[in-house]
Amino acid sequence: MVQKPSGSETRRTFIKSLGVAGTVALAGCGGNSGDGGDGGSDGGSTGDGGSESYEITFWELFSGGEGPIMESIVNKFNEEQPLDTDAEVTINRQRTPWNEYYNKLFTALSGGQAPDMAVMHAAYLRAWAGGVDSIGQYADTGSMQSDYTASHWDLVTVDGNVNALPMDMHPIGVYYNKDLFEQAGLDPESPPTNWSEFEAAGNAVAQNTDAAAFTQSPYNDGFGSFRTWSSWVKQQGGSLYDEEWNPTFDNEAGMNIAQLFSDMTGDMGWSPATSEDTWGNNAFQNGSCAMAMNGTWYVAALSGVEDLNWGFFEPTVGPNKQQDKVWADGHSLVLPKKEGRSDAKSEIAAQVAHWMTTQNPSWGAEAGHLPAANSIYESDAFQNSPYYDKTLNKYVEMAEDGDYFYHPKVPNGDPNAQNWYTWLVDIWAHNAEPQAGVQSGIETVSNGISE
Amino acid sequence: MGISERISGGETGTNRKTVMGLRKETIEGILWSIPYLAVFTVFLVWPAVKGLYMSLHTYPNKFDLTETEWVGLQNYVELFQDPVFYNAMEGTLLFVAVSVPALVILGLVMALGVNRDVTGKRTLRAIYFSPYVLTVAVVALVWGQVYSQSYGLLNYYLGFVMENPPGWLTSPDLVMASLAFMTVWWLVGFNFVIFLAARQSIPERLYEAARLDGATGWRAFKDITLPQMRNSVVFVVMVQFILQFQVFAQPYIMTQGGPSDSSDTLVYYLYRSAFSQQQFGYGAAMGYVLVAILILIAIVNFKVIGDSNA
Repeated sequence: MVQKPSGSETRRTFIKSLGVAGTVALAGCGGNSGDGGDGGSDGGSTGDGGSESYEITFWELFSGGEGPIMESIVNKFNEEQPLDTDAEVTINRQRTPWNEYYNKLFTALSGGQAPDMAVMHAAYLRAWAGGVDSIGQYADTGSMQSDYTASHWDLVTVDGNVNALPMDMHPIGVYYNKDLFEQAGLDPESPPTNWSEFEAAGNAVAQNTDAAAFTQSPYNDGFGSFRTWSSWVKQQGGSLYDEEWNPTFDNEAGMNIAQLFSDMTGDMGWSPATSEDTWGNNAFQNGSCAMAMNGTWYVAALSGVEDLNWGFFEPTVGPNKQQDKVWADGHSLVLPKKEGRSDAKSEIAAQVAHWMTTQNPSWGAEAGHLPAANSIYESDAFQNSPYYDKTLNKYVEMAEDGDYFYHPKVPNGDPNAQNWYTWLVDIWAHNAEPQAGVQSGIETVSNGISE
Repeated sequence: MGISERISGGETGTNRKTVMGLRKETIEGILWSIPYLAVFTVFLVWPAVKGLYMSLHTYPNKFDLTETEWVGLQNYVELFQDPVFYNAMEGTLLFVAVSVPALVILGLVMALGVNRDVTGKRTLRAIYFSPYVLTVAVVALVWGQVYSQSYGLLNYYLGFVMENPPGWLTSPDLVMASLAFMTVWWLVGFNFVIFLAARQSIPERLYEAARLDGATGWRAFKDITLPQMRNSVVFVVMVQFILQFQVFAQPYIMTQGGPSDSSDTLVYYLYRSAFSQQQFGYGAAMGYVLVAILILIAIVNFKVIGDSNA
């Protein structure tokens, strides 16, 4: 559950002060060494006044509604210089489109040209453990832990190690069109809360309107389909992997939901059997699809759509539900391994990561994500967010109920690779029978992890 | 002898100066070649050698490429046992089989058509060539809109004459042909220009002589036009085979290899293996197999249509 601040403010301040003092001392040593220090080779330099200056290169992947918000957070840092240090610290933000981001980051890492700080989905933290420095090397993670909710801290903890600072959690939910619900004879203010209500709502839309009832992912992509499918599989009590990271989702629950996907675009008539990537998003935004499963980030996109009267409900509406389980992943900040980066600069980068993950109320309030820092939950910005009543309070509620399970942190391969999950789109679009599709998925994911 | 001296008819070949046993013009030639050879070595020879090395190794620590492990031909053996590789090969061959003949034949037809004394041929030349100046990303985005099953321009008009227009990028049977058609639209202008230049360099007297002998139309095309344009045809066919075998951006941007892996290609799979799955050795092995295929095609191409005695 999302924990409230545990209150060790005095201790935190003390340790923070120690950390800052240590950093300044180290930075000072570098600056006084006469050779420019380590910083001279990695962006640190001595300014005219004798104080250090550091440029922290920062790679991120946010676009759409999230991009400008991240930009504003970075700009705020650069303008306010919030770190308690004499050094001038600037963040040099570089954005790479999401679908290219990890390939580029990997190439930079393997080529020794990594940035000082980078956004990383928690799902990558095990497979990429060899490519990032432990935050604990450069900051007192023991004292930092209380700054974050227990769920977020758990999200970035891999095999007992903390190699990242959590920034947010972005689970999924069902966004629905209230006007279409009304047209279908449903109460738009009473969205479904279980499978029978969800099924009845979908059937009502399919029968009483010209609109489609549901899209498993607005972008009809493999990864988006996986979020929906895996949530309902887990709700039936099915597993995705065993302890040796062998995929196990060809179990009964996995097959059931695969069949459901096929039925939704088949006999149930809820949606056209298409793999067209733009279909769901266009249809939901122009009012020709009633329900769309998507993540927290969707609010930023929907808020710009005029005349779309939308609501939100929890996705714990899978058939034959045994438990409430909802897919979630989160963004975190890591310090990629970089040869030649001084300890002083790494410590500064760790402080920057701490600031960005704890002093960013707009990230939750405007981007719609569940913030990682305890303090933000009590901030006015978060409580007064235009999305609070629409989505955020329900996402918080699911967190408090312990509903989230995390995107599997596989030990190898690319956990967000679209081609790992395109078999789900094939099933949805009737390009593959459910059984054959799931078997193809087992082979693809097994090969991806073992390679 | 320098170039300017040769042009102006300077010293004769019997009176050339030598430096360390090399003629001055030889030394000049070497010096002029050095910039190109340097670039060629750095960006082609060295990567090729490094790629061969990589294809014979694996990388136990994917984040440290200095750690290597010799595996001999294991990457190649695994490649030839990999069903995804064969599927990607099949997709590539289908794409090449559709796009290359269309690119060559259509380019030739357009060039011969514009070469005739038709009204507005200058405008036609510009129109035919203009798609070629676009980047593949722009072409893919535009055609993605055209091909869109629900919101696309093509299906909007087809909707007037048929009830359920097909999904051009969402049907496993149509997707590769759709990508090939788009590619022909994009690249045919290049072939058109090459063929037009070649056709315009054929002396008209050959056709006049043929007419006197009663050979016109198809006979003149077969016996004069095609033989005279043979070098251009060989060049265009070769270039198109090489380019289209390396098809990558179209499936990468528009379909991600789908639906049902039906638009997967060799280079797209190579890219995924090396950069998404972080298997540089495997990806390099695939690159070398692709090179071997292209060399084989080049040899066949020269044998079939490049033989000057043919």
